[in-house]
Amino acid sequence: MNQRVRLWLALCLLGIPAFPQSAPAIPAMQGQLAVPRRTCPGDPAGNLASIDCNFTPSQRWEQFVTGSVTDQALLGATFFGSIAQLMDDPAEWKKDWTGLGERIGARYAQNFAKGLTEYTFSAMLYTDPRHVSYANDPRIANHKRGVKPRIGHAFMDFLSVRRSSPSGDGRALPNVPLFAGAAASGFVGYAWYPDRLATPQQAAQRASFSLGTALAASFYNEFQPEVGRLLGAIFKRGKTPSVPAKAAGNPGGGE
Amino acid sequence: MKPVLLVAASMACLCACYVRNRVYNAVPQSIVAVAPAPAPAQKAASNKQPKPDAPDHVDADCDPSLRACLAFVEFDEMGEPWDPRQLPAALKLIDAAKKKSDHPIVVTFTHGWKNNAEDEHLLGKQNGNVVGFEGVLEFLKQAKDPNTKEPLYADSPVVGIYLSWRGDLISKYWPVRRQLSYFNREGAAIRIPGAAMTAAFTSIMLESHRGKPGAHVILVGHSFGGLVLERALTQAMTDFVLRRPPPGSEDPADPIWADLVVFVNSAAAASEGKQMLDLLNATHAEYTTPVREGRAVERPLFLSISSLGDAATRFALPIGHGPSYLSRAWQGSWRTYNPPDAFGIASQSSYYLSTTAHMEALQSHLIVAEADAAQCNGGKLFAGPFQLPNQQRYRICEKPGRHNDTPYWAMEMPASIVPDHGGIFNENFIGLLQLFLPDAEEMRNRALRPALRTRP
Repeated sequence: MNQRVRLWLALCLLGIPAFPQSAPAIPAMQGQLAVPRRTCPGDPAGNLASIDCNFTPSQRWEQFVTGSVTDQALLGATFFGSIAQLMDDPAEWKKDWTGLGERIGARYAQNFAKGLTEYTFSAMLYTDPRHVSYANDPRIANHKRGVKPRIGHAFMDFLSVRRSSPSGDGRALPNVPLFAGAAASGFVGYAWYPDRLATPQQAAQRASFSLGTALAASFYNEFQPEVGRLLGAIFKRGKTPSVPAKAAGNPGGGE
Repeated sequence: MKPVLLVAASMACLCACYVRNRVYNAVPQSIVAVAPAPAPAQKAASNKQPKPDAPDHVDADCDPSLRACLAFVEFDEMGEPWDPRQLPAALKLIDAAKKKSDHPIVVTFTHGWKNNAEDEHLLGKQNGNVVGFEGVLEFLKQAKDPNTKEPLYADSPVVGIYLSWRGDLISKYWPVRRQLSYFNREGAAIRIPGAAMTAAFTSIMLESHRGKPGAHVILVGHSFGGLVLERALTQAMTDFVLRRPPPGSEDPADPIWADLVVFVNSAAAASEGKQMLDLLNATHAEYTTPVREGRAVERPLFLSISSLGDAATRFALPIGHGPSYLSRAWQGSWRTYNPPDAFGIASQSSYYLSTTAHMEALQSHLIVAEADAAQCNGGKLFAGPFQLPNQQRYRICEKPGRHNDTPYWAMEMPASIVPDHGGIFNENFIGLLQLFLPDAEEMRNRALRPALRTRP
């Protein structure tokens, strides 16, 4: 019998309520400040650092530039381009510096096309592409326990996108920017890939890879706390020793 | 020709990615009132027009008794003050608060990595740290007693001091380089705390308490700001501890130090705090209040608290310290304690690869959800059960079998309070911190507040 069960049984037997109603409650203040704060998607509950949850034009621009133009995009293209070079993919491109440049350039351009399409559609539809977990989704009134609703929410957060709104609870729209971006990343390859790879099937394969990444990001966002706990167990350091410290009496320890 | 152009273009890109090294809020813009600007002021503003929903506005004559006031004090890359007029302006603000009340609250916040003092919303943008800190000041201004629901600090003007350094080196448009600036900014956080910064903190503490011992001074450092704060305070604190007269020879309530120093999600290695813990241990330091029913006697002077959801300090820090750990190991720099030290640790490097709050051997307290109260396992209760605005109940108790019983408290908090590294500006965490602050009675009566006592 684990400790929690034993505690519950003990409290029940003693007739003591497990959650006494008299527990002092620190009142919420978020909405009572001179300029009320909001809990935007991704913010901690009761956040005091956000005033407006809109996904602003500057945030949208930042997302495009960081994801599709600057070092992150370059690094991603270089990484996957180098792997393709090692795997001789596509075989039509030489395995020399020119071939490496083509492979990296193709991936960079593919990602750029995807980002630009997403940016354009997102700006037109005024969407907020930031992922939100099931627990933090302001559009869900009653949160159910368990993994199933969270899995469902991860899929929903992938297939749909919120409209940008001051309170972060904008109407859900089909995730047109994501799918348009994936299509762009698949089909833009027609411009440089060898004929063998410039087919609808190959384009669909490239688009699927792009969508798969987005789905994985949605699941990571949903299950980030569990990933954190797992990593926490791995990285736990400096466990409390069982020997009483003061008995050790080490001068290095300050006693 | 092509390679030359390529190199030139790359150099231009790399140079353009730095955040400018500059002062953001020079006097008189260094003092702001935490409230929307009154309508005429909005019209009068010329170059920096506040948005209607901006939470603050520049007000060199801010009255802390009417609203929370915030002062910026900024330091450059070498740890020198950017504008020597900023600190006197901040001290003047404290003085103004003291004229209105015998027990003002002074809170300083030292930000961490990827942050600076840009009060961006004046330009139509938002700086999460500035807005968040302003939210905290307002929270304190309006805080209510959890039991009586009466205003907790009704007669306490609130002054905030945002102590800033160049935490943000690389533009947000270069995310990978920005991430890699970790090592560079850690070096800066170690370099910057020198005489000027220690003098700033000490001046704030002295000015707050001068003539008004009832003032309550809280120093908070977040992430690398925790490292900055710890480095700036440690030697001054050592002097303070060693100069404490023996009990009975002086009024122990004489306050010249901060009332509470908080390191939240601190990115300082535990090796930074270890020597202070050793000192407090060796001097048998106690930070206690007179006995009062319903209130704990032991209080923290230092509070190192980190979230279980903070991946940056739990996982990234050991990885980030990995290269220098290996380098030092190669040089034979790590010592082995034989027998293990007062905290039961045998390897000195263990302190370098963790933070004070995350290191189990240094933890003094537990914060547990009420459902997990059994984890306290008879450990003395500090607070609880209490309910935070997230509607969950918790309790804080002494960690069973702990080795750290100094006034330097270290603990982890559930991710339901602070979910990650950056999300500290939320009412659940501030509500939790409220438990470590004086209650209304202690605020009114200085004699009821904790005092530091040491024994040789």
